[in-house]
Amino acid sequence: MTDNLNNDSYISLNALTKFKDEKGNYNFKADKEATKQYLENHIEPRMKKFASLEEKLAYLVDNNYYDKKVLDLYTAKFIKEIFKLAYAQNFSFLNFMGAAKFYKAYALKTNDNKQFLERFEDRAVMNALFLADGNEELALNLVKDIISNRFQPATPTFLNAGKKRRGEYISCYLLRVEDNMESISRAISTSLQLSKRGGGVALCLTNLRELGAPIKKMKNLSSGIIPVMKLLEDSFSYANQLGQRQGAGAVYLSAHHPQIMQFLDTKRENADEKVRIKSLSLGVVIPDITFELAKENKKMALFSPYDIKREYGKPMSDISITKEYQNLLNNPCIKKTFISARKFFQTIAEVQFESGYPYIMYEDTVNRRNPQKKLGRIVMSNLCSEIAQVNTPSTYNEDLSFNKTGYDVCCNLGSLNIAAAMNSADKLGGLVSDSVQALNRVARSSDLDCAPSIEKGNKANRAIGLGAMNLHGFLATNHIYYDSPEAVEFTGIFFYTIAYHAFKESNKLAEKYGAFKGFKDSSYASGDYFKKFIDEEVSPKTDKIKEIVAKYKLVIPTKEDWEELITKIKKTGIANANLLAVAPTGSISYLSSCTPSLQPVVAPVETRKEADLGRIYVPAYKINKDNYEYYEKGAYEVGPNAIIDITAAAQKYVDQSISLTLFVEDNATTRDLNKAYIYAFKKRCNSIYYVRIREKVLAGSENLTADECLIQNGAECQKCMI
Amino acid sequence: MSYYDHSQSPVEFAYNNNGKNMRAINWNDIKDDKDLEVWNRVTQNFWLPEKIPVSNDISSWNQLSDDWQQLITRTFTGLTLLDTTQSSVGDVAQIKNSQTDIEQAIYANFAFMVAVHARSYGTIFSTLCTSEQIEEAHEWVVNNDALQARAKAVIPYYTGNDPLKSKVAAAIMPGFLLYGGFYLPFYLAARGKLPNTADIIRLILRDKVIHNYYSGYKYQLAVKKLAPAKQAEMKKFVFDFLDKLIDLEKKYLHELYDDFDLVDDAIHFSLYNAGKFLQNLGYDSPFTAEETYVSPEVFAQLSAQADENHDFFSGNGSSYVMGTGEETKDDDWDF
Repeated sequence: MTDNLNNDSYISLNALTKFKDEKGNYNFKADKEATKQYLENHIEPRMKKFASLEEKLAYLVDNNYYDKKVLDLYTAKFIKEIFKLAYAQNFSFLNFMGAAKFYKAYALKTNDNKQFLERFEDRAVMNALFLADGNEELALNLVKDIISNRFQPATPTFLNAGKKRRGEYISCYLLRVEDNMESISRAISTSLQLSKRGGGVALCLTNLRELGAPIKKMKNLSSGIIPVMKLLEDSFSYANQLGQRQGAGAVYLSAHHPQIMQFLDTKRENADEKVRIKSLSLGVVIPDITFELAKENKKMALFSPYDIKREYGKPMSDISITKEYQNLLNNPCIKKTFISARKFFQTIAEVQFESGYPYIMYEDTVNRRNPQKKLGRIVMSNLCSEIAQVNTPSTYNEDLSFNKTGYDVCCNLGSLNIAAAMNSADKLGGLVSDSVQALNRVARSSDLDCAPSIEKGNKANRAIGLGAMNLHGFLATNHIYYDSPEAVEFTGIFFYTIAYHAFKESNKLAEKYGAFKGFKDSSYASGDYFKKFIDEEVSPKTDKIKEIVAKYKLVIPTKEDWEELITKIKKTGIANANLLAVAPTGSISYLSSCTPSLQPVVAPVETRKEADLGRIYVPAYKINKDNYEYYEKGAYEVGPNAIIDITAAAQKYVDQSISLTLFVEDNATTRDLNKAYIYAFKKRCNSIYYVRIREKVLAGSENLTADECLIQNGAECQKCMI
Repeated sequence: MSYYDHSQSPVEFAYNNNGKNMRAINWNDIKDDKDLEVWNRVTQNFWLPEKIPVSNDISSWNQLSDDWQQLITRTFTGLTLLDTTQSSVGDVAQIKNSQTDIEQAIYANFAFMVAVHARSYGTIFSTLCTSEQIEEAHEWVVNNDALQARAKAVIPYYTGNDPLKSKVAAAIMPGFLLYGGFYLPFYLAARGKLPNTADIIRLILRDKVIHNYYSGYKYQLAVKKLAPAKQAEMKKFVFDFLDKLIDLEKKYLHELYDDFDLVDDAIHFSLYNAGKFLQNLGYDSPFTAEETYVSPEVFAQLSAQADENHDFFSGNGSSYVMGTGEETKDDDWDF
């Protein structure tokens, strides 16, 4: 919409949510009022009206808004029934952010961008119709799952499902880059192609030869990785998905690549413009050996990927630096440089203070969990650090066509809303089953012709990433503190249960679609993978969690349940090589008015800025006077360790990774951040996503204090909370 | 420190020579703890506009009509003039009016960072505007009497030889004069316009709050030492000077915002900050709640506390800082 410079009162009402009233109570009602006014005065007048559903659908199909093929999977009678069902669910937005996010970012609009063509119910129906692929019962289930917020497809799916003109449904892509010009060129063009269709792209640069490495055996010729990063950054800025999402990309590099320090310095405050990286995300792949060297306060060796390739016959990413470290050190044919291992970790922390980057992937932890070790190594993660799958190298001809197509990775995601899912915990198995089927449908219907290596990887693996959000919302509304043993206990039980139902459904899907290609060689087939599910019994220990499990009628799978399932899996396999991954849910948690991922809220009322929405004040999920104190200790107050404990409890049962953001105040030092990585490493977390810093104002420099009064309508007095 | 009394700082030698030899700044001898606290904060807050992807605002900018674009360009160019004045005259003047050697270094930092602020408007312009728009706005600044009068009003105190009045003039810029212009980006940010530009403004605000605070703090220190009659005289000077600037400000804001229905709220916002400026110098604000009522969506942005949670994929945010380095100890590596 272009008429944004309005003075509608909903903007003021939403901002009032940030202030307390004269009795010291928060103004959560103001946000409800903002939502109402926004919908009544801003959205309703812009909603295109139709005389009947038939007329509306005919218009949307005839004008190329809806995809006729999706509607044609069902009878006209059924379509009418499912829309009726959707509108009978009494959906409402829980806060202003949810409504604003939906109408700005998801709802279908007329081509001139002046009128809305969809409400939330319509979008939910189009998702259900697409995801159920003609299965009426599943479609009816999914529409209820989505409207009740129990299951929320990831943004690319939710945004595009059922549309005639659209981007792809997949959230993210992971590409390997090999040490030759063809691979680099292909990586850039594939990045452009994928950005055009939506979804984030991550690339692994570990194998690229370093600055000054030989070309055709002539020394000091290579320009190294930085110019490649520059090219990628510009490519991502250029491409966007029909203007709806800006292209975004990440690059991963091994801690032992010779240019690791320059890589980190690209995010420095005072970096030269020629090397400064502004919008490309960075990730560092750190093996166990780096931690061990730091522990012993030794120097760490950086190894030339060019020499490794010649000595080992394989790219640097495909050998275990931890295992080969001594051999690499002793090999005189491999050029090496040394830096202090502790200094390396300190530099990571310094750069994180300045920019929030880099992400960290714990290489050996991730590979120990890898169910497809025979296929290859996990060499990178994705733009949100929750994907952990095997990529294998491709080779190219001079015209950039593929010589040998390797496996690259894509992942389509969706999230369970824990609080909403727990509200009908007795049907949790059904909900997970619906969700896995929905994600499986996305994995099997995506058009990946533009990226043959990703298509090949997807065909073989059909990997999906079912995640969860609103953990803090569930805990707080049940009066459990985020940083309590009960919270950790519940998280473990929840994911143990979810994993069971996900494997069960994927096993069922294998009957129809067959097992994924590498199943026989995987640790699923040998049963090794499932050891952790039967080695120890998972049952509620504390009174509070016993009470929760009983109150919500949550059924926790038993050892016998698992054993029975494992026997079945050994026989018929599973349809998807990966099932669970917990995304940051940066957009969909706002859409669902719930707390993001497994993270705590940043404040009871968050001040959020987004490119398409501006500054919005977001009260936490169902916050009120009674549960306020359970939100009061937010992400910055509980500190990194509490978040790591929660993540580790879930990670145990999650086959991919979990986006784990660290939050620190500005008085923390690089050592505090280092201790957080060490703790996450010790607790066997797979990865670390962003570091967020909150800077407090200098004491005394701002006399905006509690004695402030904000006068609303000339009468009411509001105490200011900033 | 025995050497201290029989020496003088280079700036004293240059401007007010008492014949003694010059001493070097000594960071081992902190005469006022506030100096170190402020130095640490301002260096931690160092930033350059290049880190903000302003180019992500181009499509937002292109959706604004020509008159809004012109308003924004003019407003920011007006702010640029004030920052140019503050950087090259105001803060530099405080160096010779300093009470401690460290204070001189802090004002040298302020002068530089304010030059960064002026430069960052240039970054916004070069990214979003055409050369003609930029040229037009600079021409407008040179010819706008109301704007010129505001900037000219502070100059005599910077160049004059009353250190206290100079301090008041140094505080009034980041404490009051800039806010009429800041109103516009805050108004736009609440409506989802130019989000990355808003990040730059928030970074500028983060610095201004400290600059105002520090000048106010040093002013109060000095005033406390004066005789009561002289204190009253200073108080009268502050209120008279502020009154004069408020009149000029109102005139300027009417010229700037009249066609956009922003002027009343912008004046309230400006008066609100005038009250804050007075409190910062140790005086009570004379303004009523009605006079300073600002719409909540603008008011809520005034805190420099970096608690805004942003979406990394579309911007860089305004909360990152230079971290404090600390080496890990052997015990930390317990795994």
